[in-house]
Amino acid sequence: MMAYIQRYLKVSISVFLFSILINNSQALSYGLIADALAAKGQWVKGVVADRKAVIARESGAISEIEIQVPRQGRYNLLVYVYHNWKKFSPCIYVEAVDSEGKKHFGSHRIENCWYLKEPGQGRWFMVSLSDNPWWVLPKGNLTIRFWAKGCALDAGKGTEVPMEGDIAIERFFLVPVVDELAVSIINPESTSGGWGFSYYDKNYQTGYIFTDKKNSLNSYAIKVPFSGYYQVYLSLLSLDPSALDIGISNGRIAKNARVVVKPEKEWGLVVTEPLFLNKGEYTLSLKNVEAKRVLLDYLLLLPFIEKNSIK
Amino acid sequence: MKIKMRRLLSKLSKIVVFIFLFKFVLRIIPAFSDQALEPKKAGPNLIVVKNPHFLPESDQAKIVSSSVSIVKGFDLYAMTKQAIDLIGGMKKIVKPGNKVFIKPNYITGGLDGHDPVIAGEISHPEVVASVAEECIKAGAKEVIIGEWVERPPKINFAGKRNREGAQVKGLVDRLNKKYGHKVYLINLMDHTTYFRYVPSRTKLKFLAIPNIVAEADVIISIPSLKTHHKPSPVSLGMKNFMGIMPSLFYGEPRYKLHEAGVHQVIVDINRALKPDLVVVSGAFGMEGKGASLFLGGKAVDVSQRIGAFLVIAGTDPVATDATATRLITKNWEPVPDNFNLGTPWYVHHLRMACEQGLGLIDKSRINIMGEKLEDLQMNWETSNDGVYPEIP
Repeated sequence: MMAYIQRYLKVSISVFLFSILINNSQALSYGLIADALAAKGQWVKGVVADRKAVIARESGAISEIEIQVPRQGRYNLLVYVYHNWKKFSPCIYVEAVDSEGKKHFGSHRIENCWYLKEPGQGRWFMVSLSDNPWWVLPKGNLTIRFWAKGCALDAGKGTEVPMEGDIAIERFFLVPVVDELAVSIINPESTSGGWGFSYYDKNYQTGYIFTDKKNSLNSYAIKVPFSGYYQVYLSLLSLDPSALDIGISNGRIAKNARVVVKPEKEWGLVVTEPLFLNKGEYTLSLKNVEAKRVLLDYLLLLPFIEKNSIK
Repeated sequence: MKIKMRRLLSKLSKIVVFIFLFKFVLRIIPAFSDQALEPKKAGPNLIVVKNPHFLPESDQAKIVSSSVSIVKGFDLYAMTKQAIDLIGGMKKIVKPGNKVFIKPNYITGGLDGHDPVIAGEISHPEVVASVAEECIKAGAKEVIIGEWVERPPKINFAGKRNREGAQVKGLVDRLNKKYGHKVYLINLMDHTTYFRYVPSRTKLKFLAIPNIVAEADVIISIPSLKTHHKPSPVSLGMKNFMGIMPSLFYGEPRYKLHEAGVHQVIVDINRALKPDLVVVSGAFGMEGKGASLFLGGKAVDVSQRIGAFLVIAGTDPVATDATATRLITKNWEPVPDNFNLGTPWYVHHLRMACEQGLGLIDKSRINIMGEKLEDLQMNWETSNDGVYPEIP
């Protein structure tokens, strides 16, 4: 009997090792993001609060951008958007056409910045554009047409009003929705550690954390909702070449990745390599590798979709 | 016989090893494999029921009668404990090791530099702290006091007079000093790491709930006693949960939820969360347009109207809100022919919640403990925008 058990255990271990090999061989980088600068149409390219973006100066001006959907599934469309309206609410609309020609719609009415008192002062927001709760998209090209209008402040359907100021979009994120769980956005300001923080900065018109100390460490309690590969997306600004070490650990497992921060006058996005994480609680840590000043605005932990799934 | 036994054992060992292997391989396959990303049939069967709060509707529709306590006085801390004790005590609600989520109404408290407590905009800090302490005493592992706030948190939580955490922070610090660090005051926007979708009967089909709320073992609503402008004549324990909903998806003030039909949305959130306790802070409140001074609400000092403050508590959110509604709508007209239904019947989300089995409105089935309702009823101003009555 022992011989039988030994034989089957050998087979089991071989299959187990083979399956691990298959899993890790999928680790190819593929981002479900699109910089708005790639959009074509009536929104004009520019820089808003040191962030490259496309800007709508006229109500109903339409632009178009494309994102590759790597795999059929459910997705939510997020955008990082700016406005400086005090009286009315800017409304953003999208109409997306998938690779099978089906249309998907969405919109978002953003609250006016009535609490920011100085003229021209605005804010960057992360908002969802897809009609709730998600779009079911086939694999392939997704063409997104987007436009903006002014809306009155009533809580029902907003009456259209003239554009009060600018609306700008920096970036689009197509976020996979797996089972009943969606997007992980980590607010860097909810930190503990050696980095400093600014809840709101008048120049960058957003909140962020910063450090100029070598090995300065910040950590966050995160929960990974399901097992799989994930990538960390960081919106960073640094005038000098630098690097950050990203660590995700829970006492038993420790995954590490280093991201290089290129010197830029404007905010940029860096993405870690895919990291396999089991469902559970972790500590995500950020360590500044050099004694260079680095600013971090938003931080996302998103499921990774393999590039090799696109045919 | 010996050979047969060996064969049997061999087969059994094969089965055991195969099951073990199968389970192990399943565990290590990434959740977003081809199969996992395939669109699934929309519908409630999509939701994995992992949390005791996400109970099927049929389990919630068996309420025969409910108890609501009303306590009058000036010591809000003690009154809150008394109100909870009258309906059975916190140990009946919180079990040792539970994670508790408390949702006070913090709205935009203090943004214009005024005192949001005296203005009646926010739940009184002493009521919130007293509930938190009762939870700890009952054995709670942690108590999270939270709200989803879109605006820069320093502005919103501190007000302009440096009243950090809508004034409750000092009391939270005191509790943490006394019991060890167990109470957290958070902005859900900062600390939510993922969302769980729950079913909705609106066109939205699903609603996104922050993981901190969805994972809690016990959920408590602490509203401030308020009337409200359109689309709801009152803002109490059930509506208070609109404040956990992520502006990331729904906008601020949750436009998409309003567009989808806010009354059903309120019912859907409460059906999913199934709050364990509602404690209405009735020291200061708002009448007229309600919500906040900025939005046109008028501050009410309850002690100026009935000679003392009030705390109302109940485990049935519909019955508790219905009782609080009766307390401030004495002369509101019209009322239904059925006297036992009263003004709460003309508040859409209360009526819908009652009809959908979440709790009771019928006065004859609500046991009032403590003070007599009839002795305390007040006639607060309605929002003058036709919001009442919401006749079906």
